[in-house]
Amino acid sequence: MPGKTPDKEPVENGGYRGGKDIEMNDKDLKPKGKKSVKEGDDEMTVVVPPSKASKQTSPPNDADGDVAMDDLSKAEDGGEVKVDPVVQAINDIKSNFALLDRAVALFDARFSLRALRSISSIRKRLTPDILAQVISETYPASSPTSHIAKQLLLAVGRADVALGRQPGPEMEIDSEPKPASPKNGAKKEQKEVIPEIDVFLGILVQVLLHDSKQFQLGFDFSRFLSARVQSLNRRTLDSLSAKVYFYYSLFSEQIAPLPPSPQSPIVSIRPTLLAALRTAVLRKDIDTQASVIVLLLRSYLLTSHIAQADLLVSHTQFPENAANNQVARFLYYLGRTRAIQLRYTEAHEHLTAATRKAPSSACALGFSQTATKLLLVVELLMGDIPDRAIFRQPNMEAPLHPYFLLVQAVRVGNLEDFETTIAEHADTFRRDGTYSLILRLRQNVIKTGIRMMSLSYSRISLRDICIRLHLGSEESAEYIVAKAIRDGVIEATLDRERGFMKSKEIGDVYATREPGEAFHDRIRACLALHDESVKAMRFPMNQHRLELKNAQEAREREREMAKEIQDGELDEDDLGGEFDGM
Amino acid sequence: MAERQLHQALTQLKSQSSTLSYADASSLLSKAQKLLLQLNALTPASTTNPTLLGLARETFELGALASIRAEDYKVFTDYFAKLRDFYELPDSVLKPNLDERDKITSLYLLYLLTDKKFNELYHQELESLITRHGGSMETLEKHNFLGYPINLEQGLALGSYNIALKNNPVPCPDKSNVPYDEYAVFSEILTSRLRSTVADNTESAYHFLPLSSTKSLLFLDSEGAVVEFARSRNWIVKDGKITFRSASASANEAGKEAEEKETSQMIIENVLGYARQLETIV
Repeated sequence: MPGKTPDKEPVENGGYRGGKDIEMNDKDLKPKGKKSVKEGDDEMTVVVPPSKASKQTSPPNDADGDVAMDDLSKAEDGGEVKVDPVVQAINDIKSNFALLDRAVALFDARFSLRALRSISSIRKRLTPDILAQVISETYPASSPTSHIAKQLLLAVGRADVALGRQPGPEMEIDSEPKPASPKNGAKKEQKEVIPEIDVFLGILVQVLLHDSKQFQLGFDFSRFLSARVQSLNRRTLDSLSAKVYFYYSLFSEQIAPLPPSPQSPIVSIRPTLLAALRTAVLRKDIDTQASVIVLLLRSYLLTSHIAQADLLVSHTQFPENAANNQVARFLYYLGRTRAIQLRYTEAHEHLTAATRKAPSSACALGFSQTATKLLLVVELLMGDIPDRAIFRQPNMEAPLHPYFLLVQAVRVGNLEDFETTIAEHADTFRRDGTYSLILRLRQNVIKTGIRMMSLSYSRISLRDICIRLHLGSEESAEYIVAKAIRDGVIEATLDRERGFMKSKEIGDVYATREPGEAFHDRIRACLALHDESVKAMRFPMNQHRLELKNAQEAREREREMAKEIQDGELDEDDLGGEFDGM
Repeated sequence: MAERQLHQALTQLKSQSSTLSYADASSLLSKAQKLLLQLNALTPASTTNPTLLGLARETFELGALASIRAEDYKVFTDYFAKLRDFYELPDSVLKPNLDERDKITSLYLLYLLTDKKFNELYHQELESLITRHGGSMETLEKHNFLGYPINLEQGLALGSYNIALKNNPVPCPDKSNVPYDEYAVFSEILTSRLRSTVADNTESAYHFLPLSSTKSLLFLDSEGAVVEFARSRNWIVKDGKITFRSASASANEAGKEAEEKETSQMIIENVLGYARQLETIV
């Protein structure tokens, strides 16, 4: 698959050169002089990315791009006395084009990631008008990609805005088509549209439509955009296309019929996502791969297709060096699947990792809350009681309150409290998707209740157990206690004839091997810590040579000393003689 | 043409469902499926004619029921896997036959309950059922067909086996509280599963038990059956009592000695390990 890349690019390039535009551009270039010519060169190198030549010529490109940006903002500053937030937003968006340009020229995904990161700051200021203006200024009226620009405008709801509008003083007269003006031509040439910019603008449109809740429109537009992304084969698009699919699936979740119903659009986009996943795996496109796997998992879980989610996980390999956030999401969905499948230990492992990997900043609070909720329920199901400190964290306390009540009920083994908590907060639990898991907790409550009783009484009648735990009959109490004994929850025996449960005397713990084992565990932990720290030590390069040298010197000195001593034996003798003499 | 033949096969299957032998029924069914294949309706596609879809679903449902009656579980799960696709079709495409759907689903759930290793599958299925029924467990518990396996599972998980088995047809011969005949197929397996679980539990919970109460505990019909069962599990029956501990206690004695030995060996090994580690450190 990657081998195709060079094949495809020249075709595009050729098509572009064969178009009518090129003549006009040439004409436009002449009056602008040397600088424009250079830009023209760059334009061509941009289309053929990975060659060394493009890397060499790229620095001037960057500089030019920056200069042009400055010019542009200056022009606008001149036009309107102070910096308007609209203009500021437009400039912010456009500054990302330079980043994308650079990403293509240097073939470095970091620049596209930087552009994507800026979306969150642009997002708040985005309006249809701003976006329409950017689009109309970016695309010349008569470029081969103008149909894409038209689509973008249509989606924003500003289909009447003409393309090829120019920034600066002439901005007011937008109906006037002026591809002939020399200055415009130069600008246009510089902006002439790499697909990355198309897609980036597309993502902005998606964001805008999502924020303004035009889900149906956004869904249709995303379908168009994802089809376009799929038709392009450019490695520099990878991180962008991941985002495109993300919003596509987000839109599909919001359209009626809403997810739990099997007719929801999320089901219908699964083939698209699966195809995208296949392509991404073949192209080793880690960003798209990770995000599409997560999206598919989410989609399966929303419609409770647990078996399919499980199959997806077992048949795909989640990329190891995926972005941290995607890993956290993946672990969360995986943990959820495992919890439903009763594989609590695995679920616990995944969910703990997910909560730890979740970004600690406030913007991802929702995720860590949801993950923590699920983790709490899984811990309860495993028979553990979650740490009290979890509920004390300031941004967790309120949303976790229902779970806190739940934990209390389970800890005390009070079935009544448990039932009322479930009844009271059923909607919350259902919304969190933990409801069916919580229903499984009932047996844990009863088990804890039996354990409490076994600890406090040395002998208790089955009738009393039955009354305390609100069980149906003595008979079922008998079965339940027998099961608890077998499961190792309590140490006791039943006496059928007299109808009571007799707890075993708690033996001396120190007579068993338990303390020894605990001690052994701790020693092992300490030793492991020591080993780890030894491994973690860093030794500066060539330090050992120095030491060797020192050692050699020392040896030399020793030898000298030995020699001296040898030589000095005479002296010693002399001395001895002297001593003797004394 | 093919459609008419299909109709024919289906009516034959339906009218003679009780008298047809399983071999005949399955040959009819495979014929019907071949016809469906010719009509391109074996799996639901957007282009398939809705009436054909209905026929296909009916074929599979009949097949599922026939295989259950013949206790051919592998074929039954295959049929259920095929049916699942049909059950997820939107109402507008194929009008759901709720009774039939829930009946077969509940049979599938019962089948999953017969063995511990299906626990995972059972909960996956339950999860999707809960979503299908609007996220509420209560409606499911009170459901005509689905309520039975779900209550059964809850009883099993909790350990209240008597409640779990109360709905079970075997101890009460009138079968009045079993919603469908096909459920009876599973009752035998379920009872024996329950019995062995309870036996495991009693072994560890009691020192000894009188025969009479063992009979009721293990849902057995007569004391003779109890004695037989006790023998199969190597329990000691003496003076109208079953003693559990004696055997395990003597094993315990021997085990204790071995354990003692093991403990000292473990300590020696540990200490040697520490010594080695210390050597590397110092």
